[in-house]
Amino acid sequence: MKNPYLPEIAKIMDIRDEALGGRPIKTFKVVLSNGHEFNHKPGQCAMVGILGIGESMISIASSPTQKGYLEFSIMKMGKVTSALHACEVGDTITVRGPYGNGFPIDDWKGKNIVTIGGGIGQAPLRPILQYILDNRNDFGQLDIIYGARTSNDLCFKNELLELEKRKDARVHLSIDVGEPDWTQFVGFVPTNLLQVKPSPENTIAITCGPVVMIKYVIKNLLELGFSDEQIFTTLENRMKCGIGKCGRCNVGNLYVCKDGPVFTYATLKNLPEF
Amino acid sequence: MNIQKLRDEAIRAIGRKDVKYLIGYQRGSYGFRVSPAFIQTKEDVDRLIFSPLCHLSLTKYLTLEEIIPVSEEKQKASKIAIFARGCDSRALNQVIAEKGIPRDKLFIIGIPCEGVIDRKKIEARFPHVTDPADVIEENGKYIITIGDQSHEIQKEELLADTCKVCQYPNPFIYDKLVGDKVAPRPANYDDIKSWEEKPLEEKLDFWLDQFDRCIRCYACKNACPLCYSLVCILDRLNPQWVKRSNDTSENLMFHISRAFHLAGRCISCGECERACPMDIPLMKLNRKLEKDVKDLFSYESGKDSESKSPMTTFHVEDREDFIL
Amino acid sequence: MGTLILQKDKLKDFLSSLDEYTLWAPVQKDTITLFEVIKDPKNVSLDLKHQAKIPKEAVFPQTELLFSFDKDGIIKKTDSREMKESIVFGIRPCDARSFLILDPVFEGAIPDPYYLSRRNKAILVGLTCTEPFSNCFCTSLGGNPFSQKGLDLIFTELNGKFYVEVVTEKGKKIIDKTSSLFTAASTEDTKQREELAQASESKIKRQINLNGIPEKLAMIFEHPFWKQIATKCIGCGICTYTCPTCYCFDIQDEPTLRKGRRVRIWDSCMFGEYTLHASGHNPRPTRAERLKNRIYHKFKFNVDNFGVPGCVGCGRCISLCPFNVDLIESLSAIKSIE
Repeated sequence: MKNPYLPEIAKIMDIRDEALGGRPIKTFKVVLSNGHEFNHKPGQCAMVGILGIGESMISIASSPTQKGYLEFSIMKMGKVTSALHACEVGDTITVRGPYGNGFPIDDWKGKNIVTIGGGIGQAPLRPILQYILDNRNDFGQLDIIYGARTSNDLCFKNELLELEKRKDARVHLSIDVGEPDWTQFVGFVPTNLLQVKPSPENTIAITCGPVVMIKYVIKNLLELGFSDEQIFTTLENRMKCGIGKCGRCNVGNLYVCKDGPVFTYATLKNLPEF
Repeated sequence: MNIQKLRDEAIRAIGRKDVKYLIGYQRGSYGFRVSPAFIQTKEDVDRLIFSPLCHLSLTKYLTLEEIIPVSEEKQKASKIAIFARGCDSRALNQVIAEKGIPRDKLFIIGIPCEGVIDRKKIEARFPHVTDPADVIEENGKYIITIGDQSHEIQKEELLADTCKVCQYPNPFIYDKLVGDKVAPRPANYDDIKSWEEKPLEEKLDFWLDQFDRCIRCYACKNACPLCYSLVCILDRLNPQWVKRSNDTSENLMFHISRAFHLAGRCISCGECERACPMDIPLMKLNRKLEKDVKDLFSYESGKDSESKSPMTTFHVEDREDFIL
Repeated sequence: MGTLILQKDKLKDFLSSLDEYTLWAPVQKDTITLFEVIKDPKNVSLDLKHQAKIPKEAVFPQTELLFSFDKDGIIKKTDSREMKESIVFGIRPCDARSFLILDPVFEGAIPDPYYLSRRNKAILVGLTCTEPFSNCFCTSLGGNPFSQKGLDLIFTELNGKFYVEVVTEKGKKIIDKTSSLFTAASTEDTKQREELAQASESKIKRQINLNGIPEKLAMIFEHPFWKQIATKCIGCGICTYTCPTCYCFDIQDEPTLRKGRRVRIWDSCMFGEYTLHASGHNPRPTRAERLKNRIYHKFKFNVDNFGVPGCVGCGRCISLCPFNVDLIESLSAIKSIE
């Protein structure tokens, strides 16, 4: 029987600063030491950690179509994430996974996709974008709505600015409070969503960000005519085992690590505690 | 103890505009159990009891974070009324002195206490009792009524161990006093003194054996009226001072740390020992430290609401040049 | 599968002759009955009073080493092939059913090798319950003080002897190894056991009808009732740590200067930091939410996920709760909410 608690060792190949300031975010590019591929689905996560400190569940921020490495975008928050932020290129960390249900991306072929992200919430949405761009003809229109508190807090800035130049994707960035060089939308992400006004016709909407933002985005999506089945989100909770056994990450009778983290609004609205 | 007098005082207390609710005792859900009661209306008052079975330390509820919903008219009220026996009043004094709760937030109904029954002792004496039971004290005996049957037991057989050596049965601090003063028992540390004389090896073996079976449920800490930190240092994970795995060495570390945090503050209510599901004699540790603080610093906790415990204060004139 | 008699004075011989197994049994220690590995069968206590330690520890210990590591990486994985088979003796029928409730949690798409290797190597020997305690309510949960469910063998104390029922092949294997100690049971023996069983069942005083509880719970999540019942609770972990069906755990790293270990330890959903996010946000900030979650987990979510309530009615949480939070009282109150 395979031991699911035994992590693999991974080496950090690259560290990129995404956001500086009080809650810094870094993207870590890691390679599993035995060379094996996760072959994960976009939306799945992994328990990332350091021996002697602990583990945290982090979404895999790169698509499975990007072979040979995994990327994790991590915000410095507590014990484990602070220790990860103190790592340098060449250090080893532990990784185990992939866990969770992931996005049903094959079911979305032929549809238009709208992703609505806030802050670090863009990280689990990024593999969707990469997967679509790597399989561009399989999908319809692609709209990326993303905002953060300030322009310094925007993740994947360079990638998104590059995407803006493409004809086959539309990027709508926002920041909460105006800044002198900022020419795009100023305001909260749910308001920007109403501004962009994506059509619900043959469209799937996926959102991730702070819980408060998710609730308002869902409210606005419903107003725009999206059905419960068309709205997807990915949740997070404190996790320890990652495999639905330690009991703590449940929302209602479902475990975020095992039955999630991806849920449709149709499922969530019937769960207590959401 | 005239229960009607107590209930009348309770009605007066909750009738005050500035009192949100009263914390008292009510009959428990079966047998000899007693439950805390959160009284807001006159009808609620009829549930109040006060008997030798009422062993709980109610002062705990003043420092827990739960906010009890109250009626519209009581939203602006600032006080909580509470029953306090001798030991409870010492806990209140200690917490007030430590600025854990302001004096003007309390309306204290003091009740001199003749001692409480140890639930473990009475349940061993009368096992499998689910029918509601009552106990009254009369002439040094307990009259126990279970259903329609009555039994008479010598008080000392069922009295809680901490009550057998209770020096302070009368409340030190109160707004109203209900009941006649009770004669205190003399200070008695004989059991601790004979324990002190035992060889070190024997004492260590005893405690290692006891803490081997601690399951780290933290009932002792949570039941203690003086363990009211929002995040207990022994619960912290960042940094982590005590590992959560329950090996004997970590368990010993937890209990010794807790005992020292209580040194000079513990009021000997005995709730920790009564709550422990593994019957670990925690009061042995606490009373030893209580005796040491008394001998070394001539200090006993909770006698007034200003004095600070010697272990929590530092004066420039102290012999040691650091807080430890 | 067969019913046999073992003379009482032969019990020590029976247990001693099975020395190739690790033996777990109830042991009297001062005023408490512990449940632990014993070397000498004469220490076995058949008095099941005050059993705050539970047989579940034989397959799910409170502290379990997951693996140890040095500064260069993982060096030692716990290997179940090295573990001896075990005999878990003296299990109350309620605790026996708890194994059946824990199994589906640790099986499934990603099986847990630590639990399963111990579980598969454990032979469960029960002891029928002739003196139910004040708060026993196993009969309200489909159990019975003489139930064989989940056990491989079950012993009943008659006068001077044990009536032994062989329930499974695993149990039979043990009897075959020690067959010289057993004699056949007579119809008189069987009749005595029946009488004891009926007497025992009638001694259970507390009952509750759990029909409709999951449906009711589905409707009352936001009800103010939860704030009221939680006011008594002081947030310790007695109910969870003495519960035979609780399984929540924490995983912690314990490093030293040059090496360390990762352990799995029991955790309690009643503790504040159980669901605390690193950001400081806590989806269950007060005891009301945590007590609510515990009751929902046992009486609704477990039913949703596995078809049975996550409770065997042993009553320990009620007897041991220091401030009288009473599960049966709470369930009755839930039933009477309009």
